[in-house]
Amino acid sequence: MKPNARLAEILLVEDNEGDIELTREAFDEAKFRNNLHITEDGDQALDYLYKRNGYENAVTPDIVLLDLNLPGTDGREVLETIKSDPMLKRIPVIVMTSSKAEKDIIESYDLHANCYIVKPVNAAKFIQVVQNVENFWVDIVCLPVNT
Amino acid sequence: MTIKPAELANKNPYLLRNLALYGTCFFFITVLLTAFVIAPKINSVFESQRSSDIQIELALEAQLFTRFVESQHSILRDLAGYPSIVNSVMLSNTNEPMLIDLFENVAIGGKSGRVILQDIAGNVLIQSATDLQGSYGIKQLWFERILNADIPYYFRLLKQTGKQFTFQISTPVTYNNFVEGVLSAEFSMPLDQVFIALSFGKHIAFKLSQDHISINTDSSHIDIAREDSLTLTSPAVTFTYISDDALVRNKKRALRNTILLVLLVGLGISFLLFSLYGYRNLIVKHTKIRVRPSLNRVYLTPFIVAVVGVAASTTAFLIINNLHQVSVEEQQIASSRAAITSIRERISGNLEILESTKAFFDASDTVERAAFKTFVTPLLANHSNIKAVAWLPKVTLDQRREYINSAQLDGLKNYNFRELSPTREIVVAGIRSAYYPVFFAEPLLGNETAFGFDLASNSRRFSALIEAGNSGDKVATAPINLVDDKITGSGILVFYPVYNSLAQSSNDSLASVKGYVQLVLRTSSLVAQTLENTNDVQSLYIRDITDEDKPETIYGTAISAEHTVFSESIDVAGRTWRMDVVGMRAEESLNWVPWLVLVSGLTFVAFTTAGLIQLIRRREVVERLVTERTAELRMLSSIVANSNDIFIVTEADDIDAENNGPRIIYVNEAFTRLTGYSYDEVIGRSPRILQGAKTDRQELNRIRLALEQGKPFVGELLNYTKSGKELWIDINIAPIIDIHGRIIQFVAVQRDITERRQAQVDREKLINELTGSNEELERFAFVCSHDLQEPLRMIRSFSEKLQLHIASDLERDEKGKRYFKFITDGATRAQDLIADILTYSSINNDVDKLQAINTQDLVDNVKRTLQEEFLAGGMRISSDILPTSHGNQTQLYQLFQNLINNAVKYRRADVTLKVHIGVIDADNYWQFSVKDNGIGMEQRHLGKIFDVFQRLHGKSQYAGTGVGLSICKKVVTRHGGTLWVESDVGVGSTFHFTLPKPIPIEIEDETQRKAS
Repeated sequence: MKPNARLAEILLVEDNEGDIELTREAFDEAKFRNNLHITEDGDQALDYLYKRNGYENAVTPDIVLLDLNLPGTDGREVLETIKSDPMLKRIPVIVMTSSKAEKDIIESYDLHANCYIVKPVNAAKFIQVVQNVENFWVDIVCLPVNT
Repeated sequence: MTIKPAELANKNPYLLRNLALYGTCFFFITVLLTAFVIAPKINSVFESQRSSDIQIELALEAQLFTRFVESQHSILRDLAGYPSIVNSVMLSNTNEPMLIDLFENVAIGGKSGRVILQDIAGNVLIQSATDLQGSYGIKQLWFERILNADIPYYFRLLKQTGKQFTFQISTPVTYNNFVEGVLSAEFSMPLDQVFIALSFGKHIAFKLSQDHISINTDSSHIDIAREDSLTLTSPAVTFTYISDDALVRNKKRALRNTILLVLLVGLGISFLLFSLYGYRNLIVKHTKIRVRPSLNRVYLTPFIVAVVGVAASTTAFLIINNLHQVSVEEQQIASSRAAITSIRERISGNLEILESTKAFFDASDTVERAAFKTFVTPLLANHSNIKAVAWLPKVTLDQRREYINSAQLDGLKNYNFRELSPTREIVVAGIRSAYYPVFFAEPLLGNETAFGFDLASNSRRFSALIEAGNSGDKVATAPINLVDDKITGSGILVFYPVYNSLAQSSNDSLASVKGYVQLVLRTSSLVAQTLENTNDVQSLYIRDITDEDKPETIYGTAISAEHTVFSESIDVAGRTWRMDVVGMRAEESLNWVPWLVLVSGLTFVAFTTAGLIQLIRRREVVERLVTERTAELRMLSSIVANSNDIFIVTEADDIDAENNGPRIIYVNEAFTRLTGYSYDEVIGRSPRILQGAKTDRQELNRIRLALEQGKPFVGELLNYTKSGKELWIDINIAPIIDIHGRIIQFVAVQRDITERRQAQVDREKLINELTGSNEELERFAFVCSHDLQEPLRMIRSFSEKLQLHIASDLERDEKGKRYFKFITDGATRAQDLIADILTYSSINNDVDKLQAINTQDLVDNVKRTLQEEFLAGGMRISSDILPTSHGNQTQLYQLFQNLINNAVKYRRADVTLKVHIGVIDADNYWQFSVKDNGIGMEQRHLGKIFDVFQRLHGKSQYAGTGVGLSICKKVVTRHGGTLWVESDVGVGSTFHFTLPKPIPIEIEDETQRKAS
């Protein structure tokens, strides 16, 4: 079903450079070939998704990895925007954040987040979680075909 | 079962009114009936009864009179049937001794009966007496009629002497049914034998008239004469019934007065009943709710009272006026009678001269002119109304010359017998058998023209002369005009015959007349003089009614019918004068009595009515007030009853009594609902039953103190419900003061504030808890921060040390270098965060250290720290003249520093940075602004920039922890101000914040308020 020839397009929204580094390493070691796009804040992420302000040639991602605490427009707003836009709402959004707060978890799911993951403190575990995410969302899950 | 009067009144409060109403209606109906139906009917019945009574009586009297006459006639007729009389007539025997004897002894007309027998030629055959009153001449009409058998007998009135009257009856003497002679008799009878009416002599008089002779009974006692006549054919007389109209008037008046009196009593009773009803109705309280009648009905009673009262007063006025009128009328009648009497006396006084002059002539055989003068002159001196006294001798034609000569000898040069020609000129008298010239006359003056005037020449005077001669009494002429010094006045001539004493035997008295004494009386001046001497008469009208068909006016003019006319007929020398007199009315001053009654009655009515109206008005006002107040009270009581607040009303007594306390006299429903006590349980008890163990005694003392001073009390108090539950109330006690200023009750309004109280307690507890946890948190944050510095320093310093340690290995390992950078950066950021958190949390601590701060100095200090960067980037920072404010020095410094640093940090690279610190003096605070021309912010982010850790930019763009603005916000808030921002992307941002000015006055006020 899934065309292997096609690279998995992954958008990472994350302002912490360390986390970006770790995520990137995790995806580099992944089973599947992928294309990781990084935006460092909410506005940039939305620009990317709407293909504007320098992202006119961006590729619509297959999944979005979204941090909640972002400078300016934060992850919640980005999530809300994606899930309330008919063009974007089918894109699975995986919330990855360092917050364990119940409030954040409930709020994210209320905003139709597809899943919520707390960033592990341990670097090895962090890489494993990212790889699991990729396995699940890229390999196991059947995603809608982008039009 | 007995009913008390009050109960009765309550049972039927309209009893009096109904009585009065029905009574009045009944009386009004009665009165109307009386006035318009019964009274006129009674009047007319009265009148017709009287008329018919009079007619009947008149007819009866006339019949009786006729019978009387016929009975007298029958006696005469029987006498005429005597053969000797018939013989005598047949033979014209004048000397039948037996007849003379018979005649003299016949009992006709009493002892003075006179009988005359005439033959058919009229010659007197036999007569029983010489002094015959009637005339028995040949050419008499009646004589002819008897001879012709036209009438069965002839009746003739002759004369009246006092209460005696004389009449003549003549009857034919027949033989073989042929009239052969006439037998006449003269009767003298007392009047009261003829007229037998029951009331005769009291208020009734009679009059018989035949031709110009009339006889009448005394009518002087009749006040207002009313005459009803009946003309009889046989005997041919007019029979007149004179009744006293004053009687009828009085009866009518009495009837009217009776009706009025009934009316007065009725109206008076109605008036009293209505007044009583009106007043009683207003004074007695009605227990049941009165339906308010319309305005018309409210004033119906006084209206009726007024109407009835006015009617009653008017009636009383009319009655008294009537009574008064009677007395006035009586007085008028008395005056009238007095006037008539005085006129009559005066006339008779004047006529006395005739008597004495006649006596003078009777006594002397011959009277000389001088002797006459001597005798008469002194008599005249006292009688100014006598124009003349004259002597008219009977002069035959033979003696004429002799008399004329005698007179001329006496000095009357031109004396001759004269008469009035048909052309009314005085000429010498013609030839006739006998003359009655004016021979002597006194006074001479004014009577010159009368000398020689032959009275026989004037038929009117002559007939009077003849009559006088026949009757032998004074006879007056009808009124004539007397010319007297060119003043024309009415007068009469009175003749008194003087007979030849030697010729007594003659059967014709006329024949024996020697002459007449004549009196010329000025009647009009006599009457006028009489009236001058009296005040009795208002107006007077005298007529000579001897000839009833042709009455002649003697004095005055006819009197209109509206006056009360008193009439009397008097006899003046054989003539009848009718005198109509309107007597002088009584003094007008007497008239005030009825008016006084009317005025006082009306005044009384006015006062009664006004009193009623006044009471009604007052009641209206009171009722309106009561209605309003009732509505008000109902409203208030419904407010009180339905209020959610407790209302308690207590008596004002016993507030400091040890055990009892003030007694409760009212509680509303909210009370029973909130306290659980029922209404009956608490009435009469004290509010103290609500107080319990935890009730604040000091507060209770304050209440007692306030109540004792009559002051209101406001406060909060802990009460207990019946079941012992605590009930916090907000209590407001106010005294109720009566109109005298005394405190009679207290009203307490209590509001259940248990919940509010509980909430307050809860809030205080929460605040305490929060304050505690906050402090703990701050302490914790502080400790944390310090303690966290330690491991971070370890991480940082040892990772740096490790970096140096494996520096050679890292030469080739780019990834390793990056990892080390992540470690160092992370640790540095954590240290920055901790420092900021420390700053943020420490803002609470110094909040009380307030002092005057020169903000200009603060800004200058901040600028100084930035000096180098200014020079480098060519930035410009300007400011207004900044004021001295109030606050914490360190914090305000931090505030300005953070804001200015932010402006510097987020400047636009391509534009020279301009920062301006401004200030506006608002009334109670300073409003500062920090304005830059930096990158600005999007509108949607402005809401969250003051949140802790909130950042708008990635760390790679602008470094920072996201705490700076949070610190600013906290500083401003802690100083009682507000902080906000205006910003446009690409234009710049302006941060505004306010700092309150220190207001010492307000603080002082606050303390004062708390103290009071």
